[in-house]
Amino acid sequence: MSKRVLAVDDSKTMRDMVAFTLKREGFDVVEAEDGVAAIEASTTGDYDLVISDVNMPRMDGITLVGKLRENPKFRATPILILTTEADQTKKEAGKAAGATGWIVKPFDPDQLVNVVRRVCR
Amino acid sequence: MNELEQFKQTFFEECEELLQRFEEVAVTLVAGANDAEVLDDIFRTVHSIKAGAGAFKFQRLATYCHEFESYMDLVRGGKLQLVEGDPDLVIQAGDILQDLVAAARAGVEAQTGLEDEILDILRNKIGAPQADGGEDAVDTTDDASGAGFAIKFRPHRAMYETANEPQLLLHALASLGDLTVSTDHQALPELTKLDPLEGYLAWTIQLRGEGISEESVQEVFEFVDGDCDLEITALSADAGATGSETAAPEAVEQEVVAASANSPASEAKAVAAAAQSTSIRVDLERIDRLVDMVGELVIAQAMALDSLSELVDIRHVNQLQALEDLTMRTRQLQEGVMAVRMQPLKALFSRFPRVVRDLSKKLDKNVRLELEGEATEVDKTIIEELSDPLTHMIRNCMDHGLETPAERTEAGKPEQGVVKLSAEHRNGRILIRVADDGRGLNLERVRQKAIDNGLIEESAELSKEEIEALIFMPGFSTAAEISDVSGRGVGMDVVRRNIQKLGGRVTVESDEGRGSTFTLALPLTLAVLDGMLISVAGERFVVPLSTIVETVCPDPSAIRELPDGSSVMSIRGETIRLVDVCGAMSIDRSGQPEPLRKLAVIVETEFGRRVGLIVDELLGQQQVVIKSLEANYRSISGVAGTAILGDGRVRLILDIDGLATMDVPRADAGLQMKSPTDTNRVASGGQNA
Repeated sequence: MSKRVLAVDDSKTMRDMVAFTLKREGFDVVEAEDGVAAIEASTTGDYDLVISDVNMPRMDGITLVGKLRENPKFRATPILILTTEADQTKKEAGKAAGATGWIVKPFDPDQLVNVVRRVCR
Repeated sequence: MNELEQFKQTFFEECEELLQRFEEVAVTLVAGANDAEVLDDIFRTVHSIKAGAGAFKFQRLATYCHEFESYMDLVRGGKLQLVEGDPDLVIQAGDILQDLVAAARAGVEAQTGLEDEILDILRNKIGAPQADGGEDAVDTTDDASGAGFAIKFRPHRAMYETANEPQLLLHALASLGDLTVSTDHQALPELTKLDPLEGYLAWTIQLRGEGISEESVQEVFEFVDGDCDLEITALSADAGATGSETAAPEAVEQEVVAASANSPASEAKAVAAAAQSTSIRVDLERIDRLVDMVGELVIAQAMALDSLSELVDIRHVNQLQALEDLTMRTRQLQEGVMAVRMQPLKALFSRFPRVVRDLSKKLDKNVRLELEGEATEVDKTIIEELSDPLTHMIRNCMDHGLETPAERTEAGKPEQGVVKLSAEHRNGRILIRVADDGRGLNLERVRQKAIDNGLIEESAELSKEEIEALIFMPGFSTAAEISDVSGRGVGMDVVRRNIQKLGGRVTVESDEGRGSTFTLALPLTLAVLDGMLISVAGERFVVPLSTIVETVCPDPSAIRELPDGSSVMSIRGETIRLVDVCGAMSIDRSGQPEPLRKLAVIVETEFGRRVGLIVDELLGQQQVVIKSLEANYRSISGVAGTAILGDGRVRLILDIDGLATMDVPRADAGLQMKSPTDTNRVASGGQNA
């Protein structure tokens, strides 16, 4: 069975790119447009990986990571945050909240796959 | 990265939405105030565009966004205050952002100039004049040319808490070279004392291979830096250690604490932000195809109904019931599909705060814009076509309608003028109003102007409504002096024409000294039309309902023949031209009985001219799906399009403006039509094309 990924980003462009890249690698991708939508999706489905943007309306990515980690279902689920290269503080904040790692924007498909392979079986 | 090309379109569409939102919120910025929600919104816009720009290698756009973003980040973090002039700076910076996006989209270089100026100002404010903060200083670790690395790796509990898997890291290492791994499980307690969340294992790893860089090894452990004991030692050919890397957990931890203290707790605000509905983006073409198909379905269903309607028989009650059900479902489906094309007017209305803001500065008037009914939904095509007319009307209100602050004070009005833009659905149409509380129309001046311009006779006696309607006449302009704001002469007549092209009407109501209200009444959609089915010599036509003013049964004595063969009729003192549809459409009446009394359907053209269409009979109102004649056949004067009715026959929709300007009767005018079957062939042949 293919792995399910929850891709969270308020930018449709980014969601599309993540989905396109990972679908090609055999993942199932579910999209959510912000933290609140992701939380909703997390209550109804199981995921093998979460990839989330940081800056989003309603609920940002860091808060989302923290909230997911509180849920026993997501305690061992790898969560990657999408961040820009300058955002060192975001990486650290993400990690403090429980993020497994990060993907630096802009990324190309190979980079994304590399990172995903590092955190997801 | 060619495979990314396909996302560019999405990116630009998204930019459009983001920039529109930007426009909407940026105008609410006020110096000294710090509305976190607005600042967050603006920051996110710039941030999102930057990310896409980076992905698609729009370098200039990305660089610009980077500076703009850094500035907004400082402002929203409270490290910079918005002082006088800063809101304008943000708006200007947004304008340039818009230009850069447009240039990237068109694949051209944007004009430089203001861009550099704004960048300088932004950098100055940020206090960091250096250009790109992009690339972090990367460790200039030399490429190890040695035999590989010896790695000691002991994960902490924290590493497991972030769902990092040692096994996956070892796999990643294995992709770099040959791996020899030994596991140190000395710390492993008895099973009863084992805490499943604790890290007890450690690994000693030998990674061997040519040309493995230390950087690539460090990258594998990038995410767990600080959450493990890590020692990376380069193996030289003779196994001598040349360097080591030990993570410094304490230092990182401190940084983390500082970072989380700094990050603005904007969650509450974010949650409070307008709830966004979940939506998908669909190509307009697909929707149009769907609309088309449903149109065909409606026709097919109407045909079925028509041909089976003679089954009025108790034996067929079930069939009729089923048919009725089908009719209802079809209508629901049609409405549902039409609804897909509908969009809230918000997208359009949100442009106007900016227009009003800029214009009030230019005109030195104090104006407040009130918006109402932004959620009202209208067909997308109509929304697009409304932008120019509405902009023009708002400008017109501000320029000509509203007085200067001094004049207002003198008139005992509040200094601030109000322009109100509102929308609502009524009777299956949408009403959009642009109202101001300005001076209103000076009826005497309007009348005089119309006389001066030769639009009306000096002696003409006009009602208040008629005088007000004069401002929509071509070439009419009430402004004593022409300003560069609402333009020269191209005034309300153009607005009126644009609105009429959409099947709508525009009217004005004015109260001298208290303001004017312009009302646009528009159809909800362009794909279906409310029509009046008429018959002439056995032929049926559709007249757009929106053009019909009234229908009269003229007294033959009221009709006069003119020397050129045309005829006119006088109705309540007004003389209007008559157009015989039979003649205009070149229908052969032989064999068809003349009706006892013909009807005159009074219609109004785009230019407000009234003509009377002479027809035999009114058959009733009907909503029809519009099919283009031009696209399927060719353009024919006097015909606006076609519609397929329930009897399966193609009917022509009359083009009122075309008919009004046609020379009638003339044998070669319009479509040559000898018999009903001929009509059918011509049009349905086009339909199949």
